[in-house]
Amino acid sequence: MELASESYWLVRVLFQRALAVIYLSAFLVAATQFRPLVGENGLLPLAEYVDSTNFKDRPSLFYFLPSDRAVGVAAWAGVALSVAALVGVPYWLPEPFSVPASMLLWAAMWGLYLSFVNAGRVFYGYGWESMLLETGVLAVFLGAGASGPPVVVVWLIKWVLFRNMFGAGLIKIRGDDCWRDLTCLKYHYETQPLPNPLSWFAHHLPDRFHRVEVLGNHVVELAVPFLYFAPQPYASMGGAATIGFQLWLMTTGNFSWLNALTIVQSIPTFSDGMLFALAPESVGTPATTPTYLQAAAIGLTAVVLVLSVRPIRNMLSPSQAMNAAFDPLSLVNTYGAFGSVTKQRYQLVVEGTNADDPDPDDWREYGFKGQPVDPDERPSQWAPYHLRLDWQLWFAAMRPRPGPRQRWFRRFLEALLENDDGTLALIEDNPFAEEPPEKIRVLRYRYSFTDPAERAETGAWWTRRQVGTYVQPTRRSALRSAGLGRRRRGP
Amino acid sequence: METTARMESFVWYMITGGFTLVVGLWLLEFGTAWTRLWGAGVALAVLGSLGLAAGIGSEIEY
Repeated sequence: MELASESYWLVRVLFQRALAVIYLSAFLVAATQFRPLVGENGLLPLAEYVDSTNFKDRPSLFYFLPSDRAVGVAAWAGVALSVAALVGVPYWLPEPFSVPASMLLWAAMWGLYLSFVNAGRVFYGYGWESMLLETGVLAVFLGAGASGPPVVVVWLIKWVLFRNMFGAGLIKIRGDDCWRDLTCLKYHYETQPLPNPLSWFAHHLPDRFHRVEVLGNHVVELAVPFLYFAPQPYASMGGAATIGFQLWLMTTGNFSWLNALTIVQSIPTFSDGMLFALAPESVGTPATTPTYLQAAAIGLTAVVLVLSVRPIRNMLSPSQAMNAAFDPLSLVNTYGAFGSVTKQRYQLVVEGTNADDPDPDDWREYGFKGQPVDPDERPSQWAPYHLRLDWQLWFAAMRPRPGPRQRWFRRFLEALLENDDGTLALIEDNPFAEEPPEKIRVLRYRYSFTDPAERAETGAWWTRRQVGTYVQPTRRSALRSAGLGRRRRGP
Repeated sequence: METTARMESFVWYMITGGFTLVVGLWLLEFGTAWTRLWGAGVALAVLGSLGLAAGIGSEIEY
């Protein structure tokens, strides 16, 4: 067995199928959430994007077609294209057509998703959006069919993975003392954006375990990434360590498709020779890569090298930015997850009432899909599906009042006061299914995981204590008269 | 380069350590066992690993 095989045919097949699953998830999220969040009459209306943005700065199909119909067509087209990529449609075509068909397919998915990200504003302001775009544009140049992929593109994917992991490692050391004194993971499982069913258990692991975990985190994020560029089997060992680390993160929290995408990026750290060693199966020797694809890959490499200068400077800078795209197409970006860890968990609890003079029992709570509200309810598993409203609620709760990045929040309240179907689809429980509430308020709580004894006794996963009022009781008319409503007012 | 001049020492350790490790591993790949090239590979891989360990260790306050 030649472990240093430079063939990547099988690697490409696995990578493309896995990336198609991520795209599928992303387009399904767009199909189900984009319109109530940022559609024509969304919490951040599309018209605001068109009015406030230059197309060259944030190119999007929706700049020219700012309608819910266009959003729906684009999202479901993305779903269909993702399924086509998942089942490998370009591989079904005769040889001269498989590579161009693959390039068109992956380019179409990239273009559609770029449109969502650039028009999505705060609801699409996550590192894994630009990471999916950057990974997706590289997939355009991998080819398909019997020929092998250009090896240089395989190395460009390793380069994205390196920036993803190493950037995350650097920002942790720079961002928060708890990463240096090894205590961050005492807090993380409880305070992370969307805990999952196992977060409670991970939180209650011994302190010593958490300290070893943090140290392991530093090794995997800061040292292991260099192995991606080493010969086999060291590159595969680096990839396997990265995959194992991401699987642990997926097991203990909901981070959208960040962890899954990192695993996908890790696939090219293996070679066909290493994959055959793991699961012996022969696929024969790949045909020669078409010359035009090789030439396109070399051109792509030149572009990536030039555009890598700013991300490299950012990574090496003590004032490293967490996640940033340096060009409107998000071709080469900088990444860095969880530079700081919040030590206390704050939650917003939205309540409504129809009572004229409500006492405490008259207020009824809305339930969210991913954010805990009912202390007795076990946290749910959602990733790799992404709950965009719930993530923004987590950010919003960090402040005692809505800030400039929460312009959407009062529109959200108004939508609840109207029982708006689209907005209600974004949440779990509406206690006012018959008729919308007259008044709504938002309380701010501090949530903590129960300890094992409390949970054994009460069955509760959380304890909570009110620490403030985020929005005082308000009516729809008050939101509108203050100009805070979501409906665009006529002339 | 301005960025390099301001680079924190742990970053310098990580970058030089990581590059040294990778170069060492490639020399191991191309060198026959117990030759000078192979020995240089082992030395660089060990040195690089120590650099990475020093980089992480310099920031741990435990």
